[in-house]
Amino acid sequence: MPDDASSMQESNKFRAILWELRIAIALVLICVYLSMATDHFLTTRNLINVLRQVSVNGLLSIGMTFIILTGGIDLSVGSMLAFGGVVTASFVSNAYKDVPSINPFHAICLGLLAGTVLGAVNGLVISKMRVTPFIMTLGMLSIARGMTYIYTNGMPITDLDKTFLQIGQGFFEPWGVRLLPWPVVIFLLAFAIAWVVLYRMKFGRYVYAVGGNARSARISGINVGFIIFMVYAISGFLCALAGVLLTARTSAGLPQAGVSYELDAIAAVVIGGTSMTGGKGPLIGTLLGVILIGVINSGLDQLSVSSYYQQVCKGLIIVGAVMLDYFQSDGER
Amino acid sequence: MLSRLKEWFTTGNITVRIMTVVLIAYCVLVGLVNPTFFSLEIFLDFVRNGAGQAVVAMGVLVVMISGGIDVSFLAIAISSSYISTVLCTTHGWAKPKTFLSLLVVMGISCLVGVLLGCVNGLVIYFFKLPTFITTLATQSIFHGALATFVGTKPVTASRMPRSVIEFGSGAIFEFTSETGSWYGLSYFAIPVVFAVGLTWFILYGTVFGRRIFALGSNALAAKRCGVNIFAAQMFVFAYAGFLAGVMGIIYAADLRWVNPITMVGDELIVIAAVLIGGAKLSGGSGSVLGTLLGMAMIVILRSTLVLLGISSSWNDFFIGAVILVSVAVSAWRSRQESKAALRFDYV
Repeated sequence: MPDDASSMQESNKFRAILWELRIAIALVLICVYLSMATDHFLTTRNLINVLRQVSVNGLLSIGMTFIILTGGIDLSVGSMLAFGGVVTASFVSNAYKDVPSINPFHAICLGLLAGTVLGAVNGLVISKMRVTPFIMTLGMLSIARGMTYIYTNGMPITDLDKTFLQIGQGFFEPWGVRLLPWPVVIFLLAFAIAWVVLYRMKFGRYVYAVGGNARSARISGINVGFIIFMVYAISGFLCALAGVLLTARTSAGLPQAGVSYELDAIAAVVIGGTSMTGGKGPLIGTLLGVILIGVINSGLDQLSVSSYYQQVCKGLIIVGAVMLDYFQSDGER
Repeated sequence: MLSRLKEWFTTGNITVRIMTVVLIAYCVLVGLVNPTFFSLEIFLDFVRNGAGQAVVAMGVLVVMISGGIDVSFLAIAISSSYISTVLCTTHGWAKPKTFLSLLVVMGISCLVGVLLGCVNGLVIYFFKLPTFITTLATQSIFHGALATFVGTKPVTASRMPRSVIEFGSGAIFEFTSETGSWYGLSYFAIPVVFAVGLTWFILYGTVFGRRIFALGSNALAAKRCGVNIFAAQMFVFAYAGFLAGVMGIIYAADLRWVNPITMVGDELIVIAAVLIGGAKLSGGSGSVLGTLLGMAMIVILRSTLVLLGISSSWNDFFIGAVILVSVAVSAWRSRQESKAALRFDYV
């Protein structure tokens, strides 16, 4: 019967749309609940605070999305963040005597360069020597952290330039209107650029192709090694950027910054629906995943739930997200 | 004797051979720079420092051979040791300072470890989930659940079972050094020998061990050959949990303090040791001896850089470098082996 068929098609379509929107729906439900359960959740001030808190993890997660899309993983994000942060801090600090104080903009560029170089080393070794990403970045996790300790002698770098601190603590104020904190602006800008790169440029298509099937990508003439190299370099750059923002926000270059940040970044990407085997997953999902984790952390704080529950929650959400993925792919089979 | 050594050296596992040479060369270097290195006291100290991680590395090795990875063992170790010590102190089960009471504490800890390991195994088997993500998630679930449902109050030395304290401070045999202080082979050597022996027996002495290798090499082929995938997968995670339970008590005895909030130790170091020892993330390979050597290398490196006059800030850097060099060497070797074949396995 045509009516039945079309209605079934309708319901399938509806289910597909529901499936696509699952993270957004979860996020909306949580937000609705939190705004009813607490007084302060639905205030501009709090929402902006949440965004500011997630911007660091957000930057890491964007890079992580690129890498997981190619089927790899980056465990060294926290360490690269710390290294980029302390390099920048050392050049804008009046207390760190080994290097001269320079213009904050140049200092930031140097920090970003440092992170990019570390990421590029990851990419080079993974693409040229074919070391498994897990192991290479596990090694880089130790090496970059070690370099951070060596560079700072294990001491925090303080007494930073006042204009530099603006990038972490100040607000973006076009025409005198206080709009958004700088970290949020930078995060959203980075996200927009990443979206364009991933969906409006050849490079993005290649990233998906490499993750989907590296062999057929190679045979279709894609320079697989170059794509792999690039995604790790991009991740290194974004980690250093996150490190700069974190340094400016905390007013100090901390050598122990970013320990175990890789877990939150991976969690955000997985919650966002990106498949760990590569080649599948929306970038917008990562944005939602990042915000979801931030909202849960801040919401549970406001409900004065102990931070241990938050841990259980985060773990359950990750398992739940991966399980949903399993059921979905089971349906396709 | 010499000819047998030579024979072993020309036919043995290449990773193990390279590592033995590197380890000996490094020890000689440290000894030349700082002669105090060649003392029994320092060697016995290595055994004590590396014991907990060496025990759990055996469990991780078995998981990795089966083609998975377990990053939740630290949370399991803390959960099991905390639950065990709290149970024993509140019920007074482990009052006497005897071997039996230590066994009770250890047994409960291992039981909790096995249960948590089974949770990992069940979730991974029934939902066919990637092991890394799953154990990452269960790590935070176990740890959070421990703090939420069991408690957050640390067990201090005064409340801890006497047998555990004795386990941590006693020695199998003791010496008195020239300066009058005493040192000896810690009791921790016993669980290490036990774990290594048991793992060796399971992997190389039983059919089940062969099945674990088969599962890691090619799960589908193993299934077609009649390997019970469920049993094998459950076993590897339960075994890792079991050894994590042992490690938890070793840590408790070493630190005389069980704090359910902070995670002491570094799970990535253990995974690094197993990888350095020749295990592959793709599964199907790895050796007990290699893992032990990998652990020894990391423990020795970590505690001897100071003897070489290098600041401890360099620790992390060197450990990372060792991981990379060892993996790069084995990657280069496998590339040489398959140079003829066109390979595109970048990821």
